Formats: sequence, C-alpha cells, structure tokens
Amino acid sequence: MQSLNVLSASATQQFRTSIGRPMFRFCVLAQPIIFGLLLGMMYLERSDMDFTVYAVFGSGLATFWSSICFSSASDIHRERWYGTLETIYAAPAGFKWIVLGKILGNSIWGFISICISFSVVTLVFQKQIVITSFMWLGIGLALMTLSLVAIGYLFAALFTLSRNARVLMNFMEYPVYILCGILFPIEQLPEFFRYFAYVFSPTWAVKIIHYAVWGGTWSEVSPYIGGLLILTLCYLLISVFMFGRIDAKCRVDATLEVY
Amino acid sequence: MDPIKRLFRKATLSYKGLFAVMSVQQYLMVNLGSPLMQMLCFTLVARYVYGGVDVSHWFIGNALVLTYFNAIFGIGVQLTQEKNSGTLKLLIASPSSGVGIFLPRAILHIFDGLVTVLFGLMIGALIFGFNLPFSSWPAFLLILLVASFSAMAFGLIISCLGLLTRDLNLVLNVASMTMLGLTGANFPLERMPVWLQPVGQLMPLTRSIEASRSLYAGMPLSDLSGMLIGELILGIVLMAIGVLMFNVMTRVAVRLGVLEMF
Repeated sequence: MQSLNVLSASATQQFRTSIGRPMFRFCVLAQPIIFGLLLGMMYLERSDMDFTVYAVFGSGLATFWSSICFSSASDIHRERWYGTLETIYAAPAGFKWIVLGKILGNSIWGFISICISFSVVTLVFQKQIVITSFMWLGIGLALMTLSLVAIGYLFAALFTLSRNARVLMNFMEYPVYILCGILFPIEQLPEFFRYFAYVFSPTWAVKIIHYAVWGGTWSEVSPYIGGLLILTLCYLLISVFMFGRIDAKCRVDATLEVY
Repeated sequence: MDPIKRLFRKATLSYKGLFAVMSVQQYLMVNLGSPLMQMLCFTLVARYVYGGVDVSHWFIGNALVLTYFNAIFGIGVQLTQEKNSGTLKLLIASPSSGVGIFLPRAILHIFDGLVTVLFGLMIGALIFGFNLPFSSWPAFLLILLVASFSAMAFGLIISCLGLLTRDLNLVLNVASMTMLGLTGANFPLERMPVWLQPVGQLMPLTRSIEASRSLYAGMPLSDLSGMLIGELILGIVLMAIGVLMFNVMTRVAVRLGVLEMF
C-alpha cells in the first residue's frame, strides 16, 4: 500500500512538473502538431487507410516514443545534474517506485500527445479517418502505453549507471521509427531488419493498431497481443533485475553524480 | 596575430568548446548518427509514399537538409552554451564586434555540415542508388557549400534568441522540424496552403534543394545560377539580420539581466 502511495505521489508530481520543461513541452505539445502536419502532407494523396495508419496514428506513436526518449529515459540524467539523484536513490520510499511513478506521469503526457496529433491531423486535412475496430484500437493503445512504460523503466535503470544518457537518448529516436514500422511498413526494410524489429515491443503494438484500421480477426491479432505482452513482461523482468544490480554497481562506480 | 590565423584559432576553439567534452563514439553519434538516421527515415517514408523505384529526388532533399543539424544544433546553441558556462558576460564585454564573434564560429560548422552530407550521400549511393555523374560533382559541391552557408546564417539568428531565453530547446527543435517541412525536402511545396508557400520560398535550403535535384536530373550549372545566387543572397541577408539581432538583443539582455544561467 505504501508503495502504491509513493507511485501515485511520484506520478502526480511528475505529471505536474515535467510540462514545465520547454523540451518536454516540445515533445508532447509541439512535436505532435508539426510531425502530424509533416506526415499529413506526405501521405495526403495516399489511401484513407494509409493516411490513418501512418499520418494520424504514426505521428502520434512517434511523438509518444520521443516523449519516452526525452523524459523517462532522461529523467535520471536530469536528477543527476540537479544533484538530487543520490537523494531519491537513498530515499526510504524506494528508488524503483519513485522512478516508476515518474515514468507513469510522463506516459500520461505521451498519451495526450497521441490525442493532440490525432485531433490536429483530422481537423487540418479533413480526410476520412478509417477505424474498423475500436476494440483493437483500444487494446493496441493500452498495451502500447504499458509497453512504453516498461521500456522507459528499463532505460531509467540502464541510464542510472551511465553518464552518457543524453547522447544515447538523442540517438534512439529515429532507429525505432524506422525499425518498428511507425511511419511506413516494415516490409520496406531488408528481411534481416524485419526479424530484428520484433525485438522491440512498439513493432507489435503498431501491428495491432494497423489491424484496428484494416480490420482483423481474433486469430490474426492475438499473436501480436501475445507477443507484445510477453515482450513487455520481459522488459519489466529485466528492469527489476537491473535495478537490483545497479544498487551495488552505483555504489562501487560512484556514478550517481555528474563528476 | 595574423587576422586569418586568429579567425581559424577562434573557429577551432569554439568548435572544440562544443565537442571536446565528448568521446569519439559520442561525437560520431551526435554528428553523424542522429542526422543520418533522420535522413534514412524520411527517405524510406518518401519511397513508400511516392512509390517510385528511384527515390533520389527525395533522398537529395533529405541529404541537403542535414546541413541544418550543424546550423541549428551547432551554431544555434553557441550563445546559450556561453551562458551555461558563465562566459557570455565576458564575450559581450569584449571589444569584438558581432561579426568578429559570429563568423569564426560558423566556419568549421559549414565544413562539418558538408562532411555529414557527404556521408549521407555515400549511404544514399549504397541504399537508394544515388549516382551523380563525376562531371557534376564540382557543381554539386558548390551547391552544398552555398546551402551550408545559408543554413549557418539561419543558425546565427536562432543563436541570438538564446540571449533572451534561458532554454532554447523548444526554439531549436521547432526550427529543425520546420526545415523538414517548409524547404520542400519531403513533399512538394505546392501542397502547402497558398499563404504558407512564400514562407517556404524564404527558408534557407529551399533553392539549394531544388538546384541539386535539377542538377541530378541533368540540368547544367549555368541554368541553376539564379537559384544559387538567390540562396547566397538569402544567406548574406540572414547573416546581416543575425549580426543586427545580436547587437540589439545584447543590449536588451543586458537591460533585462538575463546574461547568466540563473
């Protein structure tokens, strides 16, 4: 119960304060609009389905991913620079729960960015938005959010150890857009990369959202739901393991401070 | 000291100040990794959207746009970096003129931007079949040089905004994404609303992208001179605006007391 209170307090605090940062405001407010308009212009003369999949949902999912890169992953970096990482690390409330709360708070903003992108692209381009199955859409978005929380948690664990977080988070943005089929079908990629793409949970989530637009039966969509759930669980297990390991390693390597 | 030597000394010092703190891997990731990934991503989107086997038209646009990475994230952050290091006050108080401060800082970024684009072109040759005839390379390099100059001049204007704001990230990122759309790199400018099209024409790189596409299509350099001169004039005008903004905003920043980080 105490852990849940910590989680809730940390998420609320993060939700209220993170939007004060200009970079985060760009990620969740400006980027969905600009990205949505850019992709909308590119996909303008494609079919309504392609427009819905890649311009409407693609831009939203892309900005959600960016918000994970520049928030959940970078929060540890920021705490380190503020000199507060050691404090929350040593807090009796539990470092793991505080970090998870931060990621939940950021993810709510990430989800809002999908809504902004959806609204802007729909209103500006006046194209027909095709959603064949709201059930798959709901499941896809919910599992995508859950999965991105797990990825954010994993990154937070890894970045607690590394002082290079800022460089890495800048580099992570576009490879995931490319590999996971967020902005175009992964069939455009060479075969090897397509297999590699399925290591990343957004690839599975994107497929479910594609089925929400194209329409799909339970037997078609369930493998993707199963795959996404298994991967998310794997990410969470690795994160928990990592948080255990970093507890000792951070003390040995003394990487909780800037210098 | 010889003025030319001093110019290059200032250029290398400011460039080192920006990147010396990074390891080689970090430097490559920031300077080549992220820009090239962006180019690859949007070219792949364009290949899917426009359906053609030959995607060179869109690839060239996205390769040239890479010059803005140095312009915005290299030049654009210069004054903010000085502010963060606590040296902006000293810079403002020094007897150097705006041109004396700005010009050396742009030089290495122009060449750095060219190197990024050349790496991008190599990737394009490998993946997208980009194949420019040998005889067209001198003209192509000239276009690249002019494009890079004009993008850097735009970066100087962005940099000046750092004098008044304590967090430039929002401006930098909006500017960078705007370049992807408004320069015609990823979709025809005619698709934009009529009122927005002149803005696209006023953006740096728009003419360079068009010129390099035409060159690739076989047009001789003599037919492209109008576009090149236009881009060069735009770069000079942007540079002049940047220096003017620097002088005005310095005074405003001193009056408002925002030359320091806190």
